[in-house]
Amino acid sequence: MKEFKRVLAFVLTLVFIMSCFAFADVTTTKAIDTKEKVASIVSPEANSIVSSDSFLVSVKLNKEATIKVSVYEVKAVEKKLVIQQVSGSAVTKEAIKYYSFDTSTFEAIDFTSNVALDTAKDFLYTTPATYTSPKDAMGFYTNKVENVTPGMYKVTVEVVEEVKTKDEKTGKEIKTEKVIEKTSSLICVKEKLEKEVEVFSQAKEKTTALTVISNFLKSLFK
Amino acid sequence: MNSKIIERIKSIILVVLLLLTILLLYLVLMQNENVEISNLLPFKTVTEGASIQAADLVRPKEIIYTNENGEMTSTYDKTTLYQSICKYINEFSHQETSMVTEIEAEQYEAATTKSKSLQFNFAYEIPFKEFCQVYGINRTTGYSSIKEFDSIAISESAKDSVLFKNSKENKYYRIISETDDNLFEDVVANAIIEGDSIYPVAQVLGIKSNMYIPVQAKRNTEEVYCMYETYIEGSFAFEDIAESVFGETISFVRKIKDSFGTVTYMYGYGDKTLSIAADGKIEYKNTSLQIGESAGLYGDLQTAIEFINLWDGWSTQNSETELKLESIEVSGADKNTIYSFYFNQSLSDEKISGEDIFGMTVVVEKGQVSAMTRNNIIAIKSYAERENCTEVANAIAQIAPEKYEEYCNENNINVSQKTKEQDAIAYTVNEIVDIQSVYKMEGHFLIPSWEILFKDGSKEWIGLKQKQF
Repeated sequence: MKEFKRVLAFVLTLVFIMSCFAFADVTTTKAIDTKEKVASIVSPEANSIVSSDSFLVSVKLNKEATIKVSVYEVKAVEKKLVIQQVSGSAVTKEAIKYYSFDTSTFEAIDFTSNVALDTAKDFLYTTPATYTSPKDAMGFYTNKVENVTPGMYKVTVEVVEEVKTKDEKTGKEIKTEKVIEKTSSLICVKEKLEKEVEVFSQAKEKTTALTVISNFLKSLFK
Repeated sequence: MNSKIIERIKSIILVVLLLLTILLLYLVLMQNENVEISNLLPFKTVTEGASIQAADLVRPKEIIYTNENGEMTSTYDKTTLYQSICKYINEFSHQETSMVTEIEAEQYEAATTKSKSLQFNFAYEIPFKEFCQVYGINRTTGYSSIKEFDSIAISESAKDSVLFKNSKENKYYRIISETDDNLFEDVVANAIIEGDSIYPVAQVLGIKSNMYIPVQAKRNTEEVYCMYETYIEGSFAFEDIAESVFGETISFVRKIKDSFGTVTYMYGYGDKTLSIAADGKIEYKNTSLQIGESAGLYGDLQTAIEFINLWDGWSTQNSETELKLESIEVSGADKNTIYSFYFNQSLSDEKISGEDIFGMTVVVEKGQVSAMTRNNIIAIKSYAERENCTEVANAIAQIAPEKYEEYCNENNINVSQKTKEQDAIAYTVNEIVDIQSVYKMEGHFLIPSWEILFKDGSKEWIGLKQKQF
C-alpha cells in the first residue's frame, strides 16, 4: 500500500510538473500570437475585388512609428524556350515575359487560388510614400491611388526604424533603415461592367398600376 | 451794343449749354452701362442686398456626385446646378403621369450610392409646399404626402424619378414621371466633377458607420489676419443704424452708456432695445410685436433679408467676407412658427467658425423681427495656392482619446489602455454628425481647420496643419 502511495504521489507530481510546462507553452504562444502589430491595412481589404480605376489605401498605426507604403502591380510570368542564332549556331534560350493578369474572369472571393502567385513578380506602381504618425497617438495614412488599369495589385506596408552606425573607415555616422514589420494586402482590379442597377423594379410596377387608376380618375373629371 | 442783341446772344448761349448738358448726360448714362443714377447721387442709399430673394439663399450645403464606379465627390454649390434640379422637378411635375410614392431607406441609399447620381443636401428642413410655390412646381397626385425634405437626389438607376429625403422623420419619397431620359444626362453633365473625394468611414478608419469623410481635400492652408468690425460713437454708421431701427420714434429713445462702453438705445420701457458693445457686437430686441402671423420659411426669410438691408449687412466695409444662410432653427408650428436664421460669414467659400457665431442672426416671430445679433469680422482673402490636405482621419484620431475619456469618466467606465484607443475612435466616430473645413478664429487670425460637429452640439477644431485648439 505504501509502495502504491509513493508511486501515485510520484505520478501525480510528474503530471503536475508536465502540465505546468504545457500551460507555460500555451501562454507563450498566445503572447506571441496576440502581439499587436504596429501597422495594419484598413483599405484595401485583403483579397478584395474592385471595379474601378482607383482605390483607397488606408493604414492604421497603433503607436508612434514610421511606415513606408508601396503599391506594386503583380504581373504574371510567361517563360518560353526560344531558339536564337548566336555566331551562326542555334542556341536555345529561356525568354521571360511579364504581363498583367486578366482579371475579367475573376469572380470568386478567394480569387488568389486561380492565379499562380508564387511565380508572379511585383513591379513598383507608385513611388513609395513615407509617413510618421503623431507622437503618443494613433495615426492614419490615407491616399487615393488613381489611374489604375485592370490587374492584380499589392499594397505593402513596412514599419521602419532608423539605425545609426559608424563607418569604420571614415568614422562618420551612417543612418540606415531597418524593417521591423511587414504587412501586405492583395487586391484585384477589374474593369467596370456596364450593368444597370435595378433599385425600383417592384415599386415601379406598383406605380404603373396607380398611375393607370389616377389617369382614369383624371379623365373622368376632365 | 444794342441790349436786344446782347439778350439774343445770352439766349443762344443758354440753348447751347442746355443742348450740351443733354448730350453729355446722354453720353454718361447711355454709353456707359456701369453708370447708375444711385452712384451719381451725393449720398449713399442703403440698397445693397435689396434685390436678394429668399430663394437665392436657401441652397444646399453640399452636392454629392457619385460616378459610375460608385466613387463620391463632395462640393459646394457654386454654379447654377441647384437651379437646374429645381427646373428638372418643375418639368416632372407638369407631366400628366407625375405622382409620388413612398420608398424604403435602402432604396434611396442604393440609388444614390450604387449608380451615377447627384445628391443635394441641405442643413435644414424645407417645407415642400413652399418649395413648390417658389419654383412653380405643380402639386398633383400624392405631392401632399411630402411635408418637408432635407435632401433631393437624382439617379441613373431611376431616370424617371426625383427622390426626396426627410431625415427628421426618416421618410423617403419618389416623384415619378414619364419624361425624357436626356433631362438626367443634362443635369449630370453640368455637375462639377471636381470636388473632395469622400469615402465611407469603414474604408478609411475600419469602423462601422454610415458617415463619409474626405480623404483628399484641396485647401488653402495659409492663416489670414482678421479683426472685429467696430463702431465709433458719433460716426455716421452708428447713428444711422439706430435711426433705421427706431424710425420716427428715435426722438423718444433713451441712450444709456455703461462702464464697459456698451451703448444701449431704449424705446418705451424696454419694448425695443438696441445695444452696441465696444467690441462691435450689436444686439437688437423687440418685445412689443404687433399681431401677426408667420409667412412661412421663405416669407419670414424675406423679412429677415429686408431687415439686414436696413443695416447694410450684406457688405462689410474693407472686408471680403460673405454672408451665407448657414442654418435655420424652427420652433412653434403653422402660423405661430418662429424662425431663427443664422447667416454665417464666410471667406473664400469657407465658413468662419469659432466659439462665437460670426455674421448675423435674425429671429422672425409673427412675421416680424423680434431679435437680431450682428457680430462681424473683417478679413481679406488669401490667394495662396491650395494644398492637398489628407489628414481628416488623423484629426479624428487626435481628438478621440480625450472625447472618450470624458465619456468614460461621466459613465464610470473602466477601460484598459490596450482597448482604449480603438474604442475611443469607434465611440468618437459614432458621435460625429458632420466634418467640414472652416476658418477657425484664434485671436486676430483665421486658421484653416477641420470643424468636427458632435451629436450634443459641441464642436472641436483641428488645424489643417494638425494643431488642436
